[in-house]
Amino acid sequence: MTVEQRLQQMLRELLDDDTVELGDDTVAQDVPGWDSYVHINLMYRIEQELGVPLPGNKIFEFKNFGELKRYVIEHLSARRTELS
Amino acid sequence: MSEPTKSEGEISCKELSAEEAVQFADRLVEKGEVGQAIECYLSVADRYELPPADICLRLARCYMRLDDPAAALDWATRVVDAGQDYGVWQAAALIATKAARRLGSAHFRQARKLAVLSSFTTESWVPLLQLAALRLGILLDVYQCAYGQYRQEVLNPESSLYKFAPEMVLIAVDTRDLGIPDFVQDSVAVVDQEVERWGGYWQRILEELSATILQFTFVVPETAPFGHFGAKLQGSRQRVIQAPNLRLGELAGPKVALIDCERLASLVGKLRWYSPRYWHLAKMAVSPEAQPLLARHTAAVIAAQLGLSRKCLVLDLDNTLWGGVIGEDGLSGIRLGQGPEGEAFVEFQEYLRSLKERGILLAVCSKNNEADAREPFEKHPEMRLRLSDFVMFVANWKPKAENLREIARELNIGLDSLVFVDDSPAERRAVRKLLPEVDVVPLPEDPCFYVRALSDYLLFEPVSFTQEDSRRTELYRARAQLSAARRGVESLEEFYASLRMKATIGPFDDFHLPRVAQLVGKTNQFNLTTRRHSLAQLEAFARDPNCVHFYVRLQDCFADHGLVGVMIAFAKDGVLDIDTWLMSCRVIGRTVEATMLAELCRCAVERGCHTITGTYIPTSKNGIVRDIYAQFGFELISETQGTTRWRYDLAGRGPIENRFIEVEHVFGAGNDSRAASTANAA
Repeated sequence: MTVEQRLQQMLRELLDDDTVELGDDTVAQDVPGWDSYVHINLMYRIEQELGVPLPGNKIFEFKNFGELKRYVIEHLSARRTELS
Repeated sequence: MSEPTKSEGEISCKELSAEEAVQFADRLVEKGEVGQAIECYLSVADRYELPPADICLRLARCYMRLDDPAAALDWATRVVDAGQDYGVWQAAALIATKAARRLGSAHFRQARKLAVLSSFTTESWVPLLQLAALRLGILLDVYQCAYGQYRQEVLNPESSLYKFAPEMVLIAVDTRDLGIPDFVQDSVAVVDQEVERWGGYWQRILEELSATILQFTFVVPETAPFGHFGAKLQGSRQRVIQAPNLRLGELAGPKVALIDCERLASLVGKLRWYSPRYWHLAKMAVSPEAQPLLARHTAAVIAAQLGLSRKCLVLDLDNTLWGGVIGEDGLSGIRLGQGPEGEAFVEFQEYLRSLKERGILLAVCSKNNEADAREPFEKHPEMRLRLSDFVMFVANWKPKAENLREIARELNIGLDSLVFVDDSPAERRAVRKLLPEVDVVPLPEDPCFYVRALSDYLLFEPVSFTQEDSRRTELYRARAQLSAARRGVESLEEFYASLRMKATIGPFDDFHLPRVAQLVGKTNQFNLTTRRHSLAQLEAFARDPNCVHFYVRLQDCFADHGLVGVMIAFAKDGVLDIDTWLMSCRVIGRTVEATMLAELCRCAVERGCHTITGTYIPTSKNGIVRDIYAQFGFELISETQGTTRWRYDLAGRGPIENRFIEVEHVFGAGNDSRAASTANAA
C-alpha cells in the first residue's frame, strides 16, 4: 500500500465512507464530515501508525492533501536514510 | 499470493497465513466479493481466542455492506475487548452507532438518554463511550452541551439540558474547573466553596430531573510546582486538589456516582493520561490514547447504575486456584503457597475472597472427581478459600457450558449474571461459543498476573455496599441447597427473616393448572408420592368437592420464584389424606413446606377434619423427604417395603404454623379466569 493509499484509507475509516477519493489539491472542506475532530484523529493516527511526528500546529498548516502527503513521504524516506 | 480471480472457491483461506488471508480478503472486498471476504476474515478470526481489532473492524464493515447491522454491531463492539487503540475504536464507534440506529432500541438490553456536560471537548470521546456501552448492550442517546457551557446548562431551568430530559447526566469536568492555583492561602475555604458549588449543581439537576448523575473526579496534574515539598505544604495545589474528591465522595448519595479519573490517570500514568498537545490543539483534557480506557470504565459505571453488573464468578480449579492437577499430582503435589507460582495462587485466592466479602458470589465449575476437587479445600493448609466461600461446587466430567447453565438455574440468576474464569483457552472458547451471555475473563498464562486480569474485568462494579452484600453468599447458598454449613439456630432464623418471604396460595385454576401439571410431571426430589397425575386428572381434582388442592407461589427480597409448591388431599370421614405434596427444588430449605402444612391444617379445620394422614413412597431421588412427616409431628402408622404411612392429630396437637413466610390467599382470580375461558369456549 502506498503512503497515499494508506492516508486515504485512514480518512475513509475516520469518516466511515469508502467512497472518499483524495487528490493532491483536495482540501478538508471538499470532503463532507472532515471537520477539526476528524483532522485531529487523522493526526493521531499518522503519528501513531506511521511514526511521523506532526509537532505543534503542523497538521493545520498544510494547504491541501498533496502537501500533507509529501510531508509524510519525505519524513519516512529521511528516516529510512537515517537507519541505513 | 494467488489472485482472487483464479482462486475463488478453490483456495481455502484456512491454508494461508493470517496476514496472507487478510490481504486476500481485502482484495475480495475491493472486487465487491463481500460474502467471500467475510468467510475468509472469519477463518482468520477463528484462529484467536479474541480476534484482533483490525479483523473485527473489517468484518463489521463487510456486514454493514451486506446490510446486516446486527452482525456489524457485534463485530464492531468486539473491538472493545481486542485492545485500546484509539484509532480503531474511533472507526469501530462510527460503524457501531450507525448499526445501532438501524437496529432500534428494542435490540438492546437498555436504551437510555445521557447528557454530557463538559468543560472540555468531548466530541471525539463520546462515540467511544457509546461503543463501550453498546458492547454491554446499552444504547445511549447522547446530548452534549457546548464546550464550556456546563454551568449555564445546569443553572438555567430552560436550558437544552432540561429539555432533553436525560435519565443520566455525566459531568465530565477537569481539574482546571476547580480554578485552584499553585498555592492557596486558605485552602479550607477554597475546598468548602468548591464542594458547595459542585454539590449545588447536583442538587439543581436532581430537582429538575429524575436522573442519575455521574461525575469525574479531579486528577492531580502530572506537574508539581513545589516538587516533593508540596507533599507537606498546606495549600499546595497537589494537596488541595485531593480534598474535593474525598469530600464529594462523602456528599454523593445514591443518585450520584463518581468515575474515579484520578485512579485511572494513575493506572495508565499521568504522562499518558494527559497530553498538553491535545489540550492546546483541541481542548481534549484526556489524551486520545487514554480515552478508550475512560470510555470502558464510564460504561461500566453506567451499566452498574442500570443494574447490569454481574453477580457470580464461576471458577475452574486446576491451574486456576492452584498449580497442577489435583487428580494426578495429589494433595502434596499441587503448587500452592510456596515458590513464586504457589504464592501467586495464594494471592489470587485472597483477591477472590475479598470479592466474595464484597458480595460477589463464587462458584466452582471443574472437571474433576468431586472428592478430589474437595480435598484441597478440606486439607491443604495454604488454601485461602474454603468450601463455605462458594455458593455452588460443581465438580464432574460434564461439559462446562452445561454446568454453567445448571449453576445459573440453581442460583436462579441469569446466564448474563455469570463470569467464567478458567486457565484453559479451550474451555474459555467453548463457553464463549456456546454461552455468549456469559462473560469470560481471558486469564494470562502466568498466574502472577491473574489478579490483574480479574481486576481489569469491570462488570463487578457495585453501586452500594451494605452488610447484606457480605452475607449474600450465605443467602444464595441456602437457596442453592448447600445448606451443610449452616450456623446456629438463631442465625438461621435471622436468615429466614432477612429473606422477607411472601407466599401466595390459591386453589388450582385454569391459569395455574399448566404449571401445576408441569411440576407434578417432573418434580423428583421434594415429592412425597411421585404420582404423575395428568392435566386431565388434575382438572378433575379441581372440580371434586372432596378434594383440597392448592398451589404456592413464593416471593422474597431477591426474586419472584413463581409457582413452587403443589398440594392435593382428599377429605373423607373427618380425615384429610395427602395424595400429592411436592415442591420445586429451588426453594427447598426455605420453610415453604411448613407453610404448606399450615395451609393444609387450615383447610382441614374449615372442613371439620380432625386428622391429617400422609404417605411417603420412596424413589431413588426423594430421600430428602423420607423423614419430613416425623419432623412436623406426624406419627408413623405403618411401613411396607419402605412406603410409610403417617398421621397428624390435628385436634390434639393444634395446627402447624410458620412465622417466616407471610401468606396471601387468592381466590377470585382463578374463578374469573375459568369463567372467562368457559365463556370463550361457549
